Amino acid sequence: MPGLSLLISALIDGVSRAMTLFLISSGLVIIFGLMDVFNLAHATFFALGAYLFLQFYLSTSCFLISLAIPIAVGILIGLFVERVLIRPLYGKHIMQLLLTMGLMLLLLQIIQIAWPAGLYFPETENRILSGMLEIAGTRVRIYKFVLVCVGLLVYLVIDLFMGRTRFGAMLRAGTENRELARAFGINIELLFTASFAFGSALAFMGGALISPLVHATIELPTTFTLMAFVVPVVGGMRSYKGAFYASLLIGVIDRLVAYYFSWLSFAIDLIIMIVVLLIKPEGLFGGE
Amino acid sequence: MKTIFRELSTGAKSSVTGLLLLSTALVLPFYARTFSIKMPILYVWATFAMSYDIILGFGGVPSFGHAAPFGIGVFVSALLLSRGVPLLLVYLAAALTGLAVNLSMGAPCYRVRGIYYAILTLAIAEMIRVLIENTAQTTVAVTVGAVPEFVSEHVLWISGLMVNFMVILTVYSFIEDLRSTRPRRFKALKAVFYILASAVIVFGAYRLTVWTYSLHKSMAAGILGYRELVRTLSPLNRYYISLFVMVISYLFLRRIVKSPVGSIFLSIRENPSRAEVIGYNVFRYQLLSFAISGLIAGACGASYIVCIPTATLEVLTADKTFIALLGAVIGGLGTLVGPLFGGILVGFLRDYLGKIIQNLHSVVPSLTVQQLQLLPTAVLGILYILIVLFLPYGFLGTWYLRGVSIKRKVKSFLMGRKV
Amino acid sequence: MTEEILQVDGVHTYVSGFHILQGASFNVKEGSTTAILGRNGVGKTTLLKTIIGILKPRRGRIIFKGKDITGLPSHEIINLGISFVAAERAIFGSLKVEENLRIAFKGRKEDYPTLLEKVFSLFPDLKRLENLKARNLSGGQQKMLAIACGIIRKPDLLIMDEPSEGLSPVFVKKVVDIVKELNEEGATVLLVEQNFHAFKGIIDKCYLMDKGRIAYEADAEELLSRPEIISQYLGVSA
Repeated sequence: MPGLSLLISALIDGVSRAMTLFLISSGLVIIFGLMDVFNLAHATFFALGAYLFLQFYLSTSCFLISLAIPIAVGILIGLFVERVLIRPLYGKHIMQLLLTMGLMLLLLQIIQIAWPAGLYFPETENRILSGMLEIAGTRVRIYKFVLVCVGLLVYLVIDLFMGRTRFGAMLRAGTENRELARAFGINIELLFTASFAFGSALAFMGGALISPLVHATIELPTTFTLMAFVVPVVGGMRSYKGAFYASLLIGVIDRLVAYYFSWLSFAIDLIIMIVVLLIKPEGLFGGE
Repeated sequence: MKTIFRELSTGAKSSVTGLLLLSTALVLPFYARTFSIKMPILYVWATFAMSYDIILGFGGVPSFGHAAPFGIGVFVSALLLSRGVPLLLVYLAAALTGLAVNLSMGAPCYRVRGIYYAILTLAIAEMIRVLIENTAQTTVAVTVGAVPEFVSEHVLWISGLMVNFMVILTVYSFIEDLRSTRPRRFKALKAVFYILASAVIVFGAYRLTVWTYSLHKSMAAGILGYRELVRTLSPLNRYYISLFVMVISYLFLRRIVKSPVGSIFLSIRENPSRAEVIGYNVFRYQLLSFAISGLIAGACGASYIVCIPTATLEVLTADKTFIALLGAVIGGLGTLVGPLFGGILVGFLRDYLGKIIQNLHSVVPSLTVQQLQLLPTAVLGILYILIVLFLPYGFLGTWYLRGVSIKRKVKSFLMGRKV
Repeated sequence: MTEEILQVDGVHTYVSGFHILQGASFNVKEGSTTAILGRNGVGKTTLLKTIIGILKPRRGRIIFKGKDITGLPSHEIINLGISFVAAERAIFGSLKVEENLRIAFKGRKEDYPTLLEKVFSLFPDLKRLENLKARNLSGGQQKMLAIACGIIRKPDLLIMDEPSEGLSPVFVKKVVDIVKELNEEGATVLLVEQNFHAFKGIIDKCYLMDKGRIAYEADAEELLSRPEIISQYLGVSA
């Protein structure tokens, strides 16, 4: 049945897109929740992760190494950016916005300079990476399921990390009340640096993981930048749980619109954002 | 008659520097022809950066979609000009379009603040770009003939007259200023400087007059063909039109900024919640800043077409927003004059860096021309980040804040005693 | 001769441009229970926040256990052995009771279970509600938790900001008992209180604050015998 197979394709696409969004935005939200810093360059980190992964995969054909490098770079860049760019402007929100905006534009330029034609994930022998599966009359990339699993895994890991570990408790404490956390003897500055590095590495990793699916095209940074920003707005700027549900919502709607109402797809993210801002500005799932 | 002149010059006295710069700009084409071919687009960027300063520096709203009113203004102007609409009407239409676009971008400010708002503006600007990309023509070319040339003699003479008038006014303001300067050492130094400056601009005005006169003679004698006329005049047209728009915009904006409305803007920027409590409808004033900014940004779009007769999708990209952003930040948010020069500087740097990097091509052959083209913007990006970190008030802003102590030292040296 | 565990010397602190502390000076003797009394708005909380480093003084010095801690970051000061129990919003509502205690604890991991048990024996209610999110506790229970977090670290100096505020008499008595017990164990306690009456039995030394400075110092007995001083600085009768 053509109608059903299209629908199933759209839904699978939607969920995998949702997990992609979650991978981009989870770090952003964790950082913002703790530090009140909205890193506009965050999605560019994501794109950079994709490019780095593909760059190394094309030369080494080793998935793990190509994944490890963006994560390592992410940690380093996160540390550098936090120390050098974010920390001096602590408390000056407009300046931080201006700065991360500049960083985003700079990184976009650098990406365009280094890889003017984009990078494409090659066809491989590996069934998981490149293979297809027949479902209800349509062929679906197996990797999409991998992405979904990874997204769920990341969510679970973050959830466990936040809920069970001492460090996670400190993060949540710092997010709730920074001054009190200081009074409890928590080294907030160190926490900031660590979580910024962690969030950034998460973005790099996310980018690396989705690149076998979407490749690293020249539109990648811009497309995903916007989608990445819509997620916190819809889900609540500080809640990774909210980000998860918001990603699902946006991902599925976005793909359904792309499949069935393609004329609307250029504006659907904006429409969702405006609707949410109008009815519940703090986010649909926000306010833990 | 003398009193009117005196009135003018008293007002002029307070802006001796302004008049000097204006006069220099007016006679520049008759000194450095090649240089003045590059200036028009720089004036556009200067005006553009100023318009952005109104939103960010005065309204205090972080809007990252400033390319929208500009870009749409460009397209509207291109469309109208290619259909033969007179230039003045085109400017009006572009300004009003910019106003409309910016008002709709500013409206969400009511519900949404700070970071949410910044994201929203990014999204809106991007959406507009994609929309136009999908539906409309991507390139709108405007024929050269559409931009009016000062072919008529009267206009030539009038413009010449105006330039001469400005020059005379400037010299007069020099004299007035000298008269009111007390300290002898200072006065002497100023006098020397003013004499030199006067020489330059008077001579420039002289050259302009002579040139106009010879043009008039050639036209009367029928020697000069239409084509040659156009070729001679076109660059001058661009130059003077964009300069004119920039000066008018500056005066308009300055009038607003110095008025009570302007001080309300500043108080809102400093502390929005307090302003709200005092009784100002913050949203309304922010919307007002958007409206004013939109007018100017739209007009910039028209100026852009005057300088570069083709409208592509380039004008709607974040790159243009970045020019405004960088120009305003480098110059100094909230100073108005700062962004004016900041815009010129940014435009100039892009050009200059582009040239340097072209030469780099031979040194680093592995990079393609396409890649090298993007390097200037990357360098500007780094510059921008450095400025935000170390000179958050911009060049002029920092000068206003810290320059007082330097000025004092210079003055006390010149006056021979402690100030 | 007991050591002075805390010396505050000529501290000036500005908050949002306002000159709140105008040269506050006082000392706390080791092992004592010292109280800072004063009306609302004289700067008591600002004083405490300055001591633990949340606010930085513009002038003056703070010396703890002989070490100059002026201007040090809060977490370093806390880790030197000071505990601070805030007046309001003193615990993390989004964290569970046990989690609050866990992040408050500093020390070797092996010691944690014993100290946790000790705290629970002092506050049996908290043990019962161990896994509840702190925001679901009653006001009194939240204060108890806050104090528990303060003492689980075994601090050398425990600073409490209005520990009895908003508590019913039953809870107030409980707080007094806890301070008494801490005293007996040799801990030093610094209180900021408006309710002098409830704590008068256990306070050794009082400092009365007015207009951002320490205006009067007295032993507890002296203060009790001269109620007019109390009404002058606190505006209430003893």
